[in-house]
Amino acid sequence: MWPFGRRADKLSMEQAIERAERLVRKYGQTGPYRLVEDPVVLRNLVRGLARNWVRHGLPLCPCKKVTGKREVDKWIVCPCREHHEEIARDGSCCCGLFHKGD
Amino acid sequence: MAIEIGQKAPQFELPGVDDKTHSLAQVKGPQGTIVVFSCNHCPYVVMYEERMVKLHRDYAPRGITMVAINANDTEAYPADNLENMKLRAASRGFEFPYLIDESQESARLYGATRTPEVFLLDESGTVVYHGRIDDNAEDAGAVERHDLREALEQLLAGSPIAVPDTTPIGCGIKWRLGGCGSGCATKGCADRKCNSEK
Repeated sequence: MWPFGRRADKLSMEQAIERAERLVRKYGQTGPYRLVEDPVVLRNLVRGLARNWVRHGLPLCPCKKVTGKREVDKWIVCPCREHHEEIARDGSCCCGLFHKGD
Repeated sequence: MAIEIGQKAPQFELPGVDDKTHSLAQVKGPQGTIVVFSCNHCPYVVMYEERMVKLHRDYAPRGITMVAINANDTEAYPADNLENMKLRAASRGFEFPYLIDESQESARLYGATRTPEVFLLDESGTVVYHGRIDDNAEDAGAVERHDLREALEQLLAGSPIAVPDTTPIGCGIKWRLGGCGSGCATKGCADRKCNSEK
């Protein structure tokens, strides 16, 4: 089953924003990393995720290239496959949504 | 961590899409300079390119020049190599120098981590603003806070910059293996110098 609930090809932007924000806040609370604190950055990245959710049916990282091939794009569903490595190396994931905890 | 507000901006001498080498001393404007770390492929840069062009058009006549620097690893991201930078600059109508920082040294010296990430320098080359261009990457028409423009106006008016530091919105700079200099020895990272420093 899709890990983030029902697939959402027909979400409105407002619905997608709500879901994307819920998704990242949940991972920020339960995962090993902290969510970006700057509200402007958070708002922009949530909108980027939501845009991809509406366009592609998945909350794809707004910083990564979308191929249109589901078997490839599944690796860039937020939190993406590379985020652990990126955070270990750079202190934050590529888009800056999740950061190394204190 | 980005260079602190109030510090002198590091010098650079980098090749550009015009096949000429440009230094900070050459590109700096009489009233100030916008140094923006950028690239070709980052979706956030793409969203901001038109605004960057407009910023240059609006402020160059007022004595503030712009220079864009691409520090991404061009081996891992060929879309960001110099040939593609030339195409990009031509297609988007860049009227400012677009330089490549292949060694990533300038990005490290500035402490830049994202694209686009802006450093605004005053006429003496001191950093007076760092961070984002504005608060809405996706929709230029819905911007509520024009962070860089506000800093530019304050600089030109001789006033202190009210909000000198903001968090940039954009993708991380693509460091070469070990190029970040963190010495983290990330799995798969083959940079010998980096790993040998541990």
